[in-house]
Amino acid sequence: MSSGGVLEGIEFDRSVIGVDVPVGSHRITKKEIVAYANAMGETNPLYLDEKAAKAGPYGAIIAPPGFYHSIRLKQMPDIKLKFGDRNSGFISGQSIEYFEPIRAGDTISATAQVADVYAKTGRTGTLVFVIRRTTYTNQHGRTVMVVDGSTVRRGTAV
Amino acid sequence: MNQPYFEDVEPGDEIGPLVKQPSREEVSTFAEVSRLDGRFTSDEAASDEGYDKWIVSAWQSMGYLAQVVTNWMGHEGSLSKFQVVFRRLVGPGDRLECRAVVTDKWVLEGRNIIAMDAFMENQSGEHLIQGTVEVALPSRAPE
Repeated sequence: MSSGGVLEGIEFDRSVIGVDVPVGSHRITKKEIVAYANAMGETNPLYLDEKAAKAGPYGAIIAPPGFYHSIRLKQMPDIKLKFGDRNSGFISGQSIEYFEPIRAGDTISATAQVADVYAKTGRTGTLVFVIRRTTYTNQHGRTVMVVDGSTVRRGTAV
Repeated sequence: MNQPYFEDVEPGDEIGPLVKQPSREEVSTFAEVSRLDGRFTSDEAASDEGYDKWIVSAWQSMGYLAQVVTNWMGHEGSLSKFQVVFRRLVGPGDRLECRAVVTDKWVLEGRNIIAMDAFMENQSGEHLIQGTVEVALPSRAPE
């Protein structure tokens, strides 16, 4: 875990780092997956065609790789970062490990933690990166995916 | 959908392109399905948040990049890792070209892994997203 360095003097709640908290569970419906797949312009029958999907390797309609984002969850852990302004934050990256697909009918539970906070200083000022790790588990207790999402907050250049 | 097999894929193989040009309606639909609001829903909302223009969400963009790989890997292929870095904002109407290039292949614990670099560029040739992908493919060899 990163700490110190250019983070010194930047105010945030360090106590939440590394602490897993449940952020909800949701039963995934075929309708949700199909709506998401259609919105993405998908043509893969594993996401759209129940008959073809049942005959496929997973035995049911499965969700496209980015579907996890649309699962309704509670508020993610907040480090209450006091740096830059609220509108200076944006998503900088995602790192996802998939273990098995999300199937229509699954109940997906998620836990989340702030995995890391670090800062970089360059020509345009200081950037603070917050890495949130969300672990998605199905009703069988098996992890289906782990997502490390990185957001960055930009400070004011001096 | 053709099924690629591990033995038939080699480093340097190119995948795609998958070309997308999300209309305002498509961006709105994605935002609705994903329960996004603000800058992802209109020019006015984006302006209110300090952005120059309406923005296609990072999840929609990365979903397109994943699609070039999942369309290629066939029903027996499975995505195991997907890592992306967002470099530039994407707007409705941008022409987005998604490609991947195979960089390596190996067998680990009975799984046949194909590694790739993946990227999305716009009509100006700017790289919007860069990423790496790992996919498990079936083998032609008998079990």
